[in-house]
Amino acid sequence: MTRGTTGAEGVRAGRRVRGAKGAGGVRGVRGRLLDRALDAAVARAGAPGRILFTERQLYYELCRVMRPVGRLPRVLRFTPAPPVPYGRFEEALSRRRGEIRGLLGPDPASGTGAWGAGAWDTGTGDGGGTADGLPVGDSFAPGASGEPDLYDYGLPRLLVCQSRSVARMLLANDLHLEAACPVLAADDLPLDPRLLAGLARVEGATVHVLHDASVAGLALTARLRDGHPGVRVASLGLVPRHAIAMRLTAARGPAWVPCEARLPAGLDRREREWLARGRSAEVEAVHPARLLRTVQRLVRGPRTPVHSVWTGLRELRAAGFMTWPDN
Amino acid sequence: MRGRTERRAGEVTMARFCACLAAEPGRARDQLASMGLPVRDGAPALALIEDEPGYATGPFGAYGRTAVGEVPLHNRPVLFAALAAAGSPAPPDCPDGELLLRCWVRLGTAGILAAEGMFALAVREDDHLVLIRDQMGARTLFYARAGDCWAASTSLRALRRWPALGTGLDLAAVRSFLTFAYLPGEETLLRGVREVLPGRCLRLAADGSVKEEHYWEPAERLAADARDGEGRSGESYALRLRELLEEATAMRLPGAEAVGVLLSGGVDSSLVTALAAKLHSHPVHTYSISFGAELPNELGYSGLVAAHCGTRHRVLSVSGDAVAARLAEVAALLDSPVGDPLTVPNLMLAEAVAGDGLGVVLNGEGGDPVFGGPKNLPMLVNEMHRRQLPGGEAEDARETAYLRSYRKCFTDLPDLLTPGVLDALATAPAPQRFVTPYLRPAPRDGRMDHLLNQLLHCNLRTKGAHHILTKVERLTSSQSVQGRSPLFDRRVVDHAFATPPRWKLNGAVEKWVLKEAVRDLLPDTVVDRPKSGMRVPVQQWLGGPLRELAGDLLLGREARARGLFRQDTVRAWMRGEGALLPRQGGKLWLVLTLELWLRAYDIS
Repeated sequence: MTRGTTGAEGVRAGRRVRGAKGAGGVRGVRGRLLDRALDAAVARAGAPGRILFTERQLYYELCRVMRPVGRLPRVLRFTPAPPVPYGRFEEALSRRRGEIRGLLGPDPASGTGAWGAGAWDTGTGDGGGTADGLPVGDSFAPGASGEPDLYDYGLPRLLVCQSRSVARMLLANDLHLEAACPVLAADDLPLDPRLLAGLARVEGATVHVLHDASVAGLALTARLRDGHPGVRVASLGLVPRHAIAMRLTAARGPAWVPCEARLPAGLDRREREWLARGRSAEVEAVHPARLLRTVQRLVRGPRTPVHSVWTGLRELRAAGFMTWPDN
Repeated sequence: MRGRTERRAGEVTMARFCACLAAEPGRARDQLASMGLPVRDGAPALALIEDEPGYATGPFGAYGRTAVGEVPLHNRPVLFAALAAAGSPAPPDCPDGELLLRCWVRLGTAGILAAEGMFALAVREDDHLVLIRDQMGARTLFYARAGDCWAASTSLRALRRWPALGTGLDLAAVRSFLTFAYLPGEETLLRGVREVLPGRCLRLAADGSVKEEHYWEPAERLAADARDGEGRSGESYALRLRELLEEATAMRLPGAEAVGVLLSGGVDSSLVTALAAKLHSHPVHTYSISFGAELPNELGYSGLVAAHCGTRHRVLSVSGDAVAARLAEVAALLDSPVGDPLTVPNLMLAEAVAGDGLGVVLNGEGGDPVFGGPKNLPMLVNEMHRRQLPGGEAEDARETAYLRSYRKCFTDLPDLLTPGVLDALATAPAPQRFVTPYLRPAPRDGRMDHLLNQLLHCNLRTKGAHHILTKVERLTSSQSVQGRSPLFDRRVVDHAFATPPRWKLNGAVEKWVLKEAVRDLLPDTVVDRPKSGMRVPVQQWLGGPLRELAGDLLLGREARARGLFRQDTVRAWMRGEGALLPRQGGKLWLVLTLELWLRAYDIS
């Protein structure tokens, strides 16, 4: 699955523009302020510890630096527009020299890297490089190991991310080790039969879905469920209420007619209106540390029992009825 | 089987041993004397280190050889029979140390391999000193060379006192400790001092050369049909395992006296309790720990098992204040630091066992590393993803992931160690080398083909030998008690690696074959419950009774002068900051443990 571009005001598909208004070019006061804000965003995106983050996560961190909505009272629930166009962020990024600690290589989908096993992003572009050594462009390719027993055991959980760059970021930060959970991207579907066999060996095994708060994202869970009958599928979100509660920077796209899309029944009126206004929020708009902590907690945490007071809210669970932090 | 070295608590003077070898016998004796040890004129340079907690005896002799050792044996009849069959019967009252020496002299490594026990032996043979360590690593043995002389000892402190060695802190070992929470191989924190690895005989020559014989290593011995997913049923493996577990437990029971069992409530210690209760004709005492009723614990399960097996059960309450008061004492008892928050509680358990007049206490250690406990699935998942990960194509990618999966300080080292230390470590051998032989085995005899077995092998040879067993031995010995681990029995381990991996991790059921082997002995709720582990309130301790101690130790003048750790990182961790997941307590525990150990051994 590829994510569509958003509106003109919104967030463009991540793409590094190297050399645009290159270093040494004349910068105005706004440019210098932006550079300073980017410095702060780099530090914040990688904290605490040494978190690896994507370019889009860095962009959204820059948005938070420039418009610190987290300081507003909690009662104000909204999804701000991006305070700076993505193009200007790219320009500021290209002006930086040296390695940006924590920045992952370009997303394979952007076409800037060779998409194949063994390809490496050296991160030595004119405008600074990447800190990781991610091989660029390698979809889930089970069976690389020479051991005969790799797929002989049970898998209690598996995570499918709508975005490959999110999947790569989670893997780069060891979520698969922390949660004992394979992490795939939507375009790795359908699931490899060996993974399905592993899930079948564990009672209650769950495929978790991490998606954007968007029409396409909300449809992913149903698509996965339809394509894998008999597999328990649960959405982690995002749904509009998450985006609103966390005040995520949201794109502004064209309005649409609700009946055109298949939306989960669990969405409330406010969420449907939010979507109908063309709003969408990406998983990468969540702060990297919060994303890692929350996803790990949700995929590892106890599932709501099938026979519980929450049983009637199954539709909500399908729509991402999970607890995300308020701010 | 009660061996001759078995004793009741406090019965016999405790000792470690030390042995020296030089081209000139007088020179070797001089080196022993320089360590403050007793020397006999004209005798080989072998000595006991009195007043250090251990089970050393000697020097003793057989067939013209002289030796010292710490040698509790569990299968004396087997060894008597083997010697008799070889035409060299041993006297029936032969002590364990001498019996093992006879096995070595008459049968070589086959005789050592036949011995089931916990032993370290130093044998003087002509111009050689032979160092022998048991198969699993239940006893520890160190050696070093200085001034044209070899010295070997079961006490690291003795080698620390050796003037000729002039040792200091080994920074690579500091990194290893922070990575693993123990030292996983031949390294010690003392520069120039190495540990004999388990299952090895080391022949040290007076000319300085070393020859190592690797007499036992677990091997994957799967039947041909088992490799194809066919073959014997899981139940048949469980039945055979049950026989071996009964034999392993029976041979570790003391003679005509009560026995203790450390009972956590997990399946491993519960099955040892059940087997002891079934097989022993004397009272079985069980001991559990409580850190306070407000914390998650397994006392309900341990109480259930104790009632089910009819044991005399005691629950020890361990307070943060007690831990704070005794942490330094425990650090001084360990030859190499162990960053395990259960060390003080383990010592208090040993004290309780000794206080009840028991000389032997069993434990359930070994079930996880041998039969596939938790923490293997993350590495299996990692292998599925390896080509997609940062550095995934690197030769040591699997080893690096393994170190990351430990969740200690490996990923924090760039922020934790000072620039000077990092510079000094730039050319030092990487800690991945300790797990490479198991996780990326070379094509050699005994190579394990299955990834799960490789992981278990790694766990057995690193954590099993260098953390679990050494901790048990040091802390129980300090109370004149013998801690014994039936699940580390060699034949049990051999059977585990002859069992198809799918019977160890069956779907998501960990240790399946072990659970099936004892299902009839224990309540289903104990056998089938998921492992929860003991929740140790490290963070709570560090924020309360240990707060002042940690601050003084880690931010004080001595720590600053040592220059190992960045103060800003330590301060951030003490504030509960600086880490993605709330593991600062565990990380600080490692740093605190190391600092206490360095002080106990007076290393600047």
